[in-house]
Amino acid sequence: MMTTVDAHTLMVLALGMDVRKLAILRMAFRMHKAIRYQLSESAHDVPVLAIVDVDSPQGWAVWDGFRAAHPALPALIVSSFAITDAPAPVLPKPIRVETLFPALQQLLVDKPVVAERSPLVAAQAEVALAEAPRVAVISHAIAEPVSSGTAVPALEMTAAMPASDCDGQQDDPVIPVAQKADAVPQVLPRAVAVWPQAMGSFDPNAGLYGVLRTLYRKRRSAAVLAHGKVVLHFYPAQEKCELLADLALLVQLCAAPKSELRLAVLPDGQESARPDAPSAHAVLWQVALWTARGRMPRGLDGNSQLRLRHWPNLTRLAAIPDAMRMAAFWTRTPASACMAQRMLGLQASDLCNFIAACLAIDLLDARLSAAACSPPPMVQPLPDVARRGLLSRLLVRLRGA
Amino acid sequence: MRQQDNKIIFTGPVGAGKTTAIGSISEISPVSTDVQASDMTLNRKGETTIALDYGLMQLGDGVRVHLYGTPGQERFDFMWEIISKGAIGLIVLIDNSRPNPSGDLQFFLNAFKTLRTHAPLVIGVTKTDQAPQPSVEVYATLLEKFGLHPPILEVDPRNGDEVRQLLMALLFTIDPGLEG
Ligand SMILES: Nc1nc2c(ncn2[C@@H]2O[C@H](COP(=O)(O)OP(=O)(O)OP(=O)(O)O)[C@@H](O)[C@H]2O)c(=O)[nH]1
Ligand SMILES: [Mg+2]
Repeated sequence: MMTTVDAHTLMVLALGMDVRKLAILRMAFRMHKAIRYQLSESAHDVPVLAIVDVDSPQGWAVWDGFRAAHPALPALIVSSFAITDAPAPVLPKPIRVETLFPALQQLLVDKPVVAERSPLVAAQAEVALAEAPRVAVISHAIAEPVSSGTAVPALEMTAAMPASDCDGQQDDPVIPVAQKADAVPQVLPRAVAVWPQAMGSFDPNAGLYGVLRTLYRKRRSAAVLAHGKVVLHFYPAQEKCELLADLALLVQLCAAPKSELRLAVLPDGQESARPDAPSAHAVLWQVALWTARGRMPRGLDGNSQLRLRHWPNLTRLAAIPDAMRMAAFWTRTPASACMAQRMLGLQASDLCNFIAACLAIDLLDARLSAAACSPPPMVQPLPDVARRGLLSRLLVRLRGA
Repeated sequence: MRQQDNKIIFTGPVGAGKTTAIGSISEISPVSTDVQASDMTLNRKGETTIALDYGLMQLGDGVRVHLYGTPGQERFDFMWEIISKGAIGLIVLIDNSRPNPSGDLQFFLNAFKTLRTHAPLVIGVTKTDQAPQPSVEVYATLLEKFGLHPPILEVDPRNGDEVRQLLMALLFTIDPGLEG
């Protein structure tokens, strides 16, 4: 049976890979929202790109067989070994989404998107090419849908495909656009959230956020004073924090990181927190939201590789839209905020708030540089279409209840 | 996909809140087989589940998600494997007020090793209103040793919204990009 696809989906043939690698690839495609790729898993599918792993026991025979069957299909070779004179672009392993998607995009740039083996689609594409000689691929996110008739000075824009995930407008999805866009059915533009070129930031070492974060990391108890008045007692070792000032004052302090804050030892008899005091995490998390207000902690940017050590205890923390998605995403694999935004289609401000909050409670591992990233971890294969339908409906029910 | 495969398993020690959790989200009156506890469970609670709990969520068009709760007592552990066959997810409820909740967690991770290889796991920590410690951090450190990074969420099983959050965490663990 042919895999169900809509007109926006690009089928990708993957060869020389075992079930686990295919599962990882399937997941990466599923999560990549800007361009919908899908593994070609049936003889009836019409692939427009291929990825050929030449490290399998069959080695280059996989490539030879592929080329014989698909003489014109744009392909990417993946290998752990350096290859000279490769017959197609090579993506070194480990395959990471950060490099895979730009490489696939480059294939789309280099070759017009004409599906193989489907006379109907190929004929349509030929018509499109004849009518619109400037059919091309432009890189990068288009926040509004491209209307038909948009003339695109396209090819020169694709020449420099940045390696980073997000240099503002420079690096979002490849979107083929024809002068008669409706004549090219294979790939359609999709509204995509764009990582802001100039993302606001805040100093994670300043203000109440900075003070509490430092105390928490050192597990040091203290009384915190603002303008000479005690505003809270912090007990990180007991995971507690007693609030002794109006919330309005705390909000004000978070918004004014230069306010004068002082630390003092906890008064006698108050070395232990009241049992009903809020948890240290709940206060740190809330202070992070009041401080970040959609901004990134300075020192991190959209390209920083981030990972969560574990899920935050989200049922006991102030809500951030899509926090569960972000927690699931970043406990699974190290990735940048840009990548998370692109794959999950989230608001940059929510991502920044989540990052600031996780940094405050010491859950964020941001030391990983892109180069030090481990290969993609073993992941559960994504559910098949039928099961995904069930899970989506269950999600709707859980949200709506 | 067979209909009976749409099931989610709630497990955990005696009194962790399995019957309560299923009862707070099931759309039918949960089918339960609780009896007066007569042996070692007696000093902890008056009623215990001896067979299993069953609840249901109906998604329309006849599509259903079945919720099964295992009996907490270890002498019924022969039933666990039978119940969990084909489940789409496993929720382990840990009662923080028991003497060794970390030991309980390890016990249930081992008991459901087979299911864990193909179904995602979520940990719900209950009775934190009575016993705030161990914290989620402590469980996370333990799970890390098993190479596991599941959601660990404090929940009160009497609160349906919190139980639903556990299920949502399970869904996003399967697919962070799940739309719905
Ligand atoms: N205060 C408080 N009570 C809880 C919480 N969770 C469960 N309970 C109570 O604990 C008791 C036991 O809950 P059950 O749902 O019967 O536990 P179970 O896991 O089904 O127990 P078994 O069937 O014996 O294995 C009930 O009275 C619940 O209301 C919690 O988070 N806080
Ligand atoms: Mg019970």
